[in-house]
Amino acid sequence: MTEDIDIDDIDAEFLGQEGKAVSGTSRMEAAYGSGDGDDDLTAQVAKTGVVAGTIFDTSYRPWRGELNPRWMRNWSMLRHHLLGFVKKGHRPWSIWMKLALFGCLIGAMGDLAMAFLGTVIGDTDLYRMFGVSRGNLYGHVLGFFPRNALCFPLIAALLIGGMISEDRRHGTSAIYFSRPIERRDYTAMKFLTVAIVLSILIVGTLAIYYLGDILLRGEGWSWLLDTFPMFLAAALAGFLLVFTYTSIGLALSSVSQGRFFPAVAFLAIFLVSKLLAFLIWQLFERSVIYLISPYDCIAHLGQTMLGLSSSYEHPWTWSLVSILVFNAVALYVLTSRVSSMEVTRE
Amino acid sequence: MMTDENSRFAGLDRKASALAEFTIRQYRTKLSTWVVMGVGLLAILMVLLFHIQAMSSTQDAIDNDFDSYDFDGDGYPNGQEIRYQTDPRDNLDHPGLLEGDISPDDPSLYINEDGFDWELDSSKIQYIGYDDDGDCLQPEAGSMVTDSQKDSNGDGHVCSIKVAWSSLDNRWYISSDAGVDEDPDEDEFYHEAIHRSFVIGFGKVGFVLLIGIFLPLFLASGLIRQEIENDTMHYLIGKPIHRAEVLIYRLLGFMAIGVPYIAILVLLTAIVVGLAAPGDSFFRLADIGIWLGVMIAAWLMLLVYGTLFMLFGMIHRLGAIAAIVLGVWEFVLAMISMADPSLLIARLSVVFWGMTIVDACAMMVYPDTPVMLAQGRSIKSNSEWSLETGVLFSPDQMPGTGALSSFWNETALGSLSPFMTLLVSVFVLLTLAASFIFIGQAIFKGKEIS
Amino acid sequence: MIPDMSQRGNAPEETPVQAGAPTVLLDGVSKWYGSIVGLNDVSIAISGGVSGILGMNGAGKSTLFKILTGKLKPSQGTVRLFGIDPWQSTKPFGRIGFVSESEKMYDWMTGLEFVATMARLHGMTREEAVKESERVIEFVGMSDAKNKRIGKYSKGMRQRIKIAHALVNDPDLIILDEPLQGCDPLARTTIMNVIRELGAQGRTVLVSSHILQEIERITEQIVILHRGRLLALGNLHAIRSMLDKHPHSIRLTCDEPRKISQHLVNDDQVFGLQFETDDTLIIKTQNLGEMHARLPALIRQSGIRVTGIDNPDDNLESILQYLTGGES
Repeated sequence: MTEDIDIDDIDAEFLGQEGKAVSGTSRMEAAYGSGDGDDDLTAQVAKTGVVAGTIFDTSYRPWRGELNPRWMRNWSMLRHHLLGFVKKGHRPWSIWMKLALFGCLIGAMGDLAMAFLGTVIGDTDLYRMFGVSRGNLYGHVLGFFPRNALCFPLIAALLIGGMISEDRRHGTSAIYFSRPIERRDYTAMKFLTVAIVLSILIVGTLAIYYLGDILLRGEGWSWLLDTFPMFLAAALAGFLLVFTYTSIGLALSSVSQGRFFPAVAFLAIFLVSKLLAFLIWQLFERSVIYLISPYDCIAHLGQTMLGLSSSYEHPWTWSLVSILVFNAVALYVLTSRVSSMEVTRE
Repeated sequence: MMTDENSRFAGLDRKASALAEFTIRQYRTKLSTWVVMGVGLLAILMVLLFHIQAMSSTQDAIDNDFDSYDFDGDGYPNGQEIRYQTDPRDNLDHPGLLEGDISPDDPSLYINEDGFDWELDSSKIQYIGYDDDGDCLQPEAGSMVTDSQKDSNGDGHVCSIKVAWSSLDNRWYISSDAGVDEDPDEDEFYHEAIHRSFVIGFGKVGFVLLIGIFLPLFLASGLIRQEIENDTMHYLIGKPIHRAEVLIYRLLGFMAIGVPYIAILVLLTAIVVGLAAPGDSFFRLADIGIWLGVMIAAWLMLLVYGTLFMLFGMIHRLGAIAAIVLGVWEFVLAMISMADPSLLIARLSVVFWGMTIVDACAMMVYPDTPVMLAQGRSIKSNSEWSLETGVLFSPDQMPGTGALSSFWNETALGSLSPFMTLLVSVFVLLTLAASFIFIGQAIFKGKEIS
Repeated sequence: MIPDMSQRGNAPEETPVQAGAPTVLLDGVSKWYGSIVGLNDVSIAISGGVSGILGMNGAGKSTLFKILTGKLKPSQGTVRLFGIDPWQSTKPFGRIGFVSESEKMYDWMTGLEFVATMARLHGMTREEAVKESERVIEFVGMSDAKNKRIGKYSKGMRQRIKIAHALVNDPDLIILDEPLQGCDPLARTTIMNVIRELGAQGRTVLVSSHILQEIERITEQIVILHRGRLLALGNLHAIRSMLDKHPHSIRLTCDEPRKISQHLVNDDQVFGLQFETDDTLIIKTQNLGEMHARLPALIRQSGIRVTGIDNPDDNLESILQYLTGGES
């Protein structure tokens, strides 16, 4: 009983015609269409003595409903990841994660606190040490100890730990990929989640520091015009740092199945490369080794952007190339792992 | 074929070897083992490349006292003019005017001509040093330098260097008269200093700190945790083996992988560094003492950290956080141990004791390093100007002194001799390992595996 | 009173460590996790033969096995294997073999290596271990696949290797948790034969399974758990007959069920009659044995040709259903 079905675009896609990739609509059909037409079905129970079998005709009726626009689906994913911080019923954040993030946020604003203290108690030296300046803007984002040695990498490691690896381990990636969600979007939203939190921590606190300092100093527009480019440069360096942390972290999370290994490997990559480079610098006074340390590459770029004197002897273009290579490799690993991720439990 | 269950020690070694062998074979099949070991090897090779490059480079010879230059442009180097007591700043006064046919010397004769002739004794104040080029004893002609002027440091000894060891500050105090031992050989000093710094520095940071922490972190954490997570724990637990034994034998398997790995790496490094070492001999055998120390320190770190991380792996969620916290703690205290090991807080870490082993061996193998450091700091920074040469500067310390001083530590265990320090550190590490195993098996015994 | 389900097998009896102590003894054992009760006051003593441990999901079977194998500690009560507490001492494990439910094994080992390593963990030397491993591998019928990696085994082969590893130390107590799950019918038969053979050798075998028909074929001694409580214990037919509330059914397949029913309806043992289909008749009776005794005479009297006599609800499934009220 085959009806004449018009093969238009939607059906063509569903029936697997050449050149049409299986997209969200067809997946919805597969999920929802199977229950359709139950009322029409007749079943024949084979009676005893019946020798011949029966072939049942199934008629497919493509689902022609409206999908939500892509950005709405992506937004719901992002929301699901971020809201878990405050609400139940979303992707859970452990209490340790929340505590650590809270602690690091407070710590990151230490320089603003010290500047504030300076104004309150009237100590101009303290204020001058911690107020906004080229060096302090740089230090807020790219200072090694304690920010980039402890705070930022630790938070990044905790964030990326279970991001993708938990999905692989528990098979919840099946929940995502059986819905009309592109794998690209899945990766992008996970990336954005980590990036947003890290940006708040690194660049958000920078903005608060800058703003707070304006209020404390009561500066006028001329000061603002002078210092705003520095602030922008520091913010740009901060975003580069966030991007690098996120891409390397998620790449690690996508190759493993636990939440422990990616976090530890992440910390290892950043801290060990820095330590090894530092060792060689101490011994042989060759700074080119710092190219293996992503943190130092970004620090070098940050110094160049902010107009600070460089503590490295090699040209900044080398650091730029190095950090681009790091990010490219990480993103490649991430995208290839996610695109080849099986939907069932591996 | 049943073991007599009344004597539960029957077959102890059989069970031990079975479980250890099983663990080793399990490691062989895991990718993470090979990745971690490969990355370690690569890192070491990279560092060795830098070392070889540094060792094969030649340091520029610096004329610290400028006597190879010709200030007055008369064709005779300053040093020759000083020797012949003519005025190096007067181009009308030069040795060519003296009796005999004195031709100008090759300027290179006057570079690095006055090196260190020191024999130090830390128990007393000494006045040492010999003025090889005579520019202190016979200064420039016509300058009528008195003895008190020759004794520029005012210690009553003409043209000498006063040295005294301060046990309070753990360093030599040097006060030199001008022109004594002022132009040593940079290349020779640099290579020796860098060689020593590398052996000590890389031994401490590369092997004890980095490999000592990261190998157990990646390999030993899963010893118990992986089995519980993979639901294969019952194969090991439901046997007539005590849980404590399971822990120890698994650790044994881990050590059986880590110990040869470190031995091979240390051997490789020792061979390469020994071949590249400065000095007359083809291969520096004396360094074996330090490399043995590095190897033993790294093995002990493997043992202690292996136990710790295996422990942390047992306590599911908290364990991972504890591992990260411990890692950070050890890193920070490692930095402190290297900067100032006399701080008591450094002793609260495991890595301090490992580094102390290396330091103790360094003290035994390179006992004259404080002398080298003193020498490195003894040269003075000079600057001169002349019409012919323009402005000249000389550095204030020998190249390589900075690196050597940052990695060299007098062992900080009070007044103990290096050998006793070594024994104490080994003992402390073994005790730590034993106590962690004891704690671990107590936790494991009471742990329910659902 | 702790019911004792001792059975005698054909093999000579092995003396347990404490003479007179049953192989498996649970006395008032309870286990709770926070507010969830895993086991609730369970008391059993088992010595010898095959016993089936049955129950719905969540009944407490896995908890029971974990307590027996020393992975969990009972919150209350005592557990004794061969007279020894498995949580305190690892001695009894030398005489126990445990086949767990989990499918995860060491995929990188070959079957022989796996069993031999487990054997060595019992304290055997390498040669002894290989010899014993080959013996048990042959016993479970895996000799030709013993040198293949476990990762390449089918489900049935994995189950058999698991059983082999549990048998390598010649255990007196064998515990099997869902040994038949995921196995194809051929493998199932093999495994069931193995279990029956083990029971016949006089060992104590505890088997838990969901596949009730298979359990019925292996043993008649059952333990039923429901929601952590011990619901029934003993011979399955005896238990069935104890269930007075539910009358037994006998199904007769014949040409004219209505005619035969006229002859049966007057019998005092007949509780009720039901016409299932055109050619089957269900007789409900309180006393199965008595009814069966009378049935041939009644049938001959009626003169109707009967082609089949069957007890549709004298099986575990019905028992389980009746006892648990059909709830899970």
